Formats: sequence, C-alpha cells, structure tokens
Amino acid sequence: MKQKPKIVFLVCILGVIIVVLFLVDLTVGGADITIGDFFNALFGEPVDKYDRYIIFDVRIPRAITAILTGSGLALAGLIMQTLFHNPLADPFVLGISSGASLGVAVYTMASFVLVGISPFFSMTAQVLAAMAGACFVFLLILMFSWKINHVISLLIIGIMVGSVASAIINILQYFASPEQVHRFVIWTLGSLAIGWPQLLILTPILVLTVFLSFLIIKPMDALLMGESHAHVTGVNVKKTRILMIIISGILTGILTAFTGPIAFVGITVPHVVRLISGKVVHRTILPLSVFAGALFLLLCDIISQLPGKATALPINTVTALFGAPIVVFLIIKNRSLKSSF
Amino acid sequence: MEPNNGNRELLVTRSLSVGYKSSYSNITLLTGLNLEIQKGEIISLMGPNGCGKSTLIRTLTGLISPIDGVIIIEGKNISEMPSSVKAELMGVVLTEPVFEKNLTVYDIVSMGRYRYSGWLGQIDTTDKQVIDEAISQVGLKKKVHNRLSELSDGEKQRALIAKVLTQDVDLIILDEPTSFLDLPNRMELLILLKKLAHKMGKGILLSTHELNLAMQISDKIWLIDRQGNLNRTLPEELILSDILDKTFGNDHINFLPQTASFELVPSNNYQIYVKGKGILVTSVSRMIKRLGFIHSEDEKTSNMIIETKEGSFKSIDNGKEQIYFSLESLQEFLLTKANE
Repeated sequence: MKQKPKIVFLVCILGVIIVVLFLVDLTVGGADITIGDFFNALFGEPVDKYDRYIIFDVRIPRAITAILTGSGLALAGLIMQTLFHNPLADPFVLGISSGASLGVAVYTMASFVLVGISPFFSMTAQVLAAMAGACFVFLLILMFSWKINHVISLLIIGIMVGSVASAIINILQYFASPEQVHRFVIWTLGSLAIGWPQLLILTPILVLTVFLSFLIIKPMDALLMGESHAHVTGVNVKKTRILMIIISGILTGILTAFTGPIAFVGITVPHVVRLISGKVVHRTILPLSVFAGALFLLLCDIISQLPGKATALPINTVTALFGAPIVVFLIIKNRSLKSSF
Repeated sequence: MEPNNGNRELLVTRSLSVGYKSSYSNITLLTGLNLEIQKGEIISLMGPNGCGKSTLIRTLTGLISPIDGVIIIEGKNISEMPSSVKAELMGVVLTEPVFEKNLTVYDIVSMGRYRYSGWLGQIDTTDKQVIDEAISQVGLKKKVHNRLSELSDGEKQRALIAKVLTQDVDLIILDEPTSFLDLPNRMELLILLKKLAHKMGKGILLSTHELNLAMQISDKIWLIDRQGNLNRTLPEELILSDILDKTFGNDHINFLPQTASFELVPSNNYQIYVKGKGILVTSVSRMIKRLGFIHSEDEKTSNMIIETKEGSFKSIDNGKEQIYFSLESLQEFLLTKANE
C-alpha cells in the first residue's frame, strides 16, 4: 500500500511533463509557429493556411507518433529484459526489426524481385515491405518459442536471424545504386514524420497491445524470480512467455515498419524507471516505462528539430546520442545492473 | 492422531519411475516408487550425489514429468494439473537462487498469494495479514523491505519459506534447503520446518545432505542407496541397520551406529588406549582416530597408552615414557609414530 501513491504521483508528473513537451514539440521545426498559433488554430481563429496545415497535418501527427513510438518501444524493451533475464536486452533482440529492415532493403534496393509492384517509390509500399519482413521473422520466432524450452536458445536464434538479415542487406547494398542505398540509409535513421492515415492504423494497435501487456504484469512479476520459481508459484510459464513475445513482437514490428529502427529507447527507459522508482516489479515499472518512453522520445524529437529552419537531425541519431551516455552511466552507477551480471 | 485415517495423506505415488527424458532414450534413476507423505510429518530425502534426489523432487513438484507411474495429490493426478492448481495444493522451495536480486522480501513473500491477488497482483487485507504472519513466523520482520541482495543465504531461504507459507497449503517440498547455510542457520531452518510439521500440521519433504541434523528432526527418512533403492525408515531404524554404511561408507569411511556418525577407517594397526577422565580423553581419542590409529578399549591389548592429566599428556610406548605439555606436541609425536 505504501508504494501505491508513489506510482500515481510519478505517473501524474510524467503526464504533465508529456503535455508540456507535446506543446513545445508543436513549436519547433522548419516554420515559425508559436503556441498561440496552435491555440488559435485549435479554437477556430483565423490562422494562415500553411500554418494550419503544418500544425494539423505535420506537427501534431509527429508528436503523437513520438508518444506512441516512445511508449511502445520502452514497453517492448522492458518485456524483452524480463523474458531474457538480461538487462541489456532491447526490442530488437528477437530479430524482428532486422526482418523489417530486410523487407525495406529488398523494396528499396531490389524492387525488381517484387513482381507486380510499381518501381516508383511509395511510402505505403515501403511500410508494407517492412511489415512483411517483420511478420516473417515474428512467425519464425513464435514457432521456435513453441518448441524451445530454454529462453537463451531463443536469444541466440534472434541474433542469428539478425545476422543473416544484415548479411543479405549488405549484399543488396553492394549491388545497389547510390540513390537506392541512400534511400535505405535514410529509413534506418528513423523518422517520426508519418501522416494521419498511418496513425489511424498505428494508434489502435498500439493502444490494444499496451492494454494487453497490463494483463501479464502479474505473471511477469513472478518470472522475475526465475522460470522454475514462477512455475511452482502457479504461473503458466510457457503461455506467459509466448504472450510476451507476441506483445513485444507486434510493438517492435509495427513501430519499425512505420518509423524505422529507433534504437536506445527500449533499452534505456526501463533502466531509468527502475533507478528512479527503486522498484523492479512490473506493476510499478511497466506503467512508468510507458509514460517515460513517451517523454523520452518527445524530448528527442524536440532536440532533433533544434537545428532550426534548415534541417532536422535524424531521430535515431538523437536517441543514440542521448541513450548511450545514460546506459554507460547506469552500468557504472546502478547496482541492479551490476548484480545481474 | 489416529493412525488409520485415510485423508491424512497429502501425496501418494503409484509405481513411479523418475529420470531424464531425452529424444534418444530415457534414463531411469529410480523405479517402482510407492511413496506417501502425510499431514504433520517431516520427511528427509537423502542419498549420495547423483542418486536421483533432485530428479525425484523435481518430478514430485511437477517441474519434470515422470517416466512412468502417477503422482496423486488430494485424489488428483498432478500431470493433468495446470501449474496454478498445483500451486494451490503444494508449496515448493527450490534450490536455485532467485534471479532478480532487487526484489524485496515483501515482493517475494507476496508472490505466494499469486492465486488470491487481483489481475495486477494487488492484495487485500486478508492477504496482507497472511503475508505479515508468514514473515514474522520465519523471523524476517525487520527485513521486510530489504532487497534479496542485502540478505544472507539463510534469510533468503527463510523468505522463500515464508512465500510458501502464504500459499496456505498443507504440503511443502523443499529441495536442499540447507545447502548454502552455515551450521546455526541449518539448525534454525530445520527447527522451523519441524515446527511447521508438528505444530501446524504441514506435511514436509526435504532433500538434504545433513545426515545428523536430518536424523534429529525427521519423522521418517527416505534413503536412496547406491543400487537405486529408496529405503523408507525411521531415523533410529537407520542406526540399527547397515543401510547407511552401505550407502555412504567406503574404504575410508565407516558408519558407527553407537554415535550415529561416520568415522575414518584406521589406516594402521597400532592400537592406542587413552587413560584419564572427562573431555580431555574425548579430545585425545579424536586425535588418535584422526591420525589413523585404532582407538583401543582395552588397556592390556593396546600397543600404546596415553595418560591425560590437567595440563600434560604422558605416552607409554613399550615401557618408554614421554611427557607432552600441549596437544600440539602430542600430535607431533603421534605423527612420527604414524609414519614409522
């Protein structure tokens, strides 16, 4: 009972910061738009036509994407860390994002193999290619997880899948034209700039998956003791494990397909949350990770827009520049990491 | 406690075989087991390393499936039970360490209320009462909010036992609960288990290597011998029979029924008689045995006599007398004697 007000308190603080950052995020970018413009537009006051377009069709979707992606990746990372009992696991360990990368690589650099698809570049086709790749690996991993009893074997399979995918991507890059390679590299740098139609697909899937993750908070807490301990406590370990893979796989697959592989959110945020809350049980750190992930990526998005009118930094570089020092700091400072090795 | 009451049985096995299953072949370690555990009794499972103790425990607790036969708890076959139902019928304390060392004692103990708590793991007043009670029963009240990494091995073990207590089950199975503990902690733990069995009526099965302690607290001993037979005896029957000697004894170690302990087999034929009174005689006798001599009961047939007095020892060896003022110098003499 003691810790309960503390979670609510932390969630409230995170919520307020997220709202503030959301508003700040609307004001940064190529065009000069103020908070005032935003509220004017919101309440139907006359606003410049282009400004209105930028607010409603560029910046608001981008900020929402940052929130969804940040929370989804943080959640997927947390689940992977629990599944593998490994503090350095992230959403990409199962190789699902590598599958997405392979899909995009095939589409951008070897579209000749995809019979029937127009050779012209299309955002939708690129997302579909990424999803196809992610789905393929996801089903493969799911099939293995049914057969395999040792979770470490799954980790190794994930890493192998990732290696094979990057080998194929390297071959494709070797033979591709510079423009094709460039287009692929741009995708790997990540982008939160997606439009309403994509958000309409992304949002319900994400909300549903996050809700689903709340249903396995209790078994995941028991899994912290280890699988045998969880089993004798009454947990259906296999079912829980498969649900964890499904949830994390869907989150990682769909987010990578829409935004590219955004690193460091999934590995960093759960650790920061553990450090701040002083807790390891999921009923505390799962909701906090969802909120903190949204906050982290919103912040990264604001920073990526800071160069101003001329250009924006790729989001994946900002998360890494931010995330890497945090991971290093935690490894030195945090006792929970040390004792896990 | 009427002896022929059928529903005191908590766990029964019928022609149970345990071992490892692999894709090539099954390796059976124990076979034809018809065991039972009753309410209010504490049973120690013993046997040499590799005899199948752990495998039997893991099979009885449903972590691995039997090669053959059935395990029945409260009339139901456990191989058909989901883990949640098994947890309602038995509490299990495993020997492997808990993975996440940052869990607190309270986190661990409250996991025992898994089937009672809400979908997020939230607990009500009854749960809290049960948890508090279990924690104080194992004497961890002052460490409720300590992390596992801050506990001693004995405290960790007790936290896991408290978790099992909150499960509110009659049957408790523990795999080597004493293995990482020092002597006082081992004794304290076994006394706690004995209390749970005799005062609270739990049926307890534990595997252990602590022969001496196990014989002092157990109502029954299940001893697996080298041939893979599981012998069910009372601790005292064990002393009377030669099973222990056959199971654990070898060319270097003998089981002595008189002291219910193991002793080194003498490495030479030299017989020494120790004369004197009290604890000094005991300690010199121990030294003699430790150095491989035969401790003689008869002054006349012995090869050597050692007289113990306050502050000095005298050896009479073929009429040759020598005096020592410390155990250390006596040992020095005996060592040269042993090497002759």
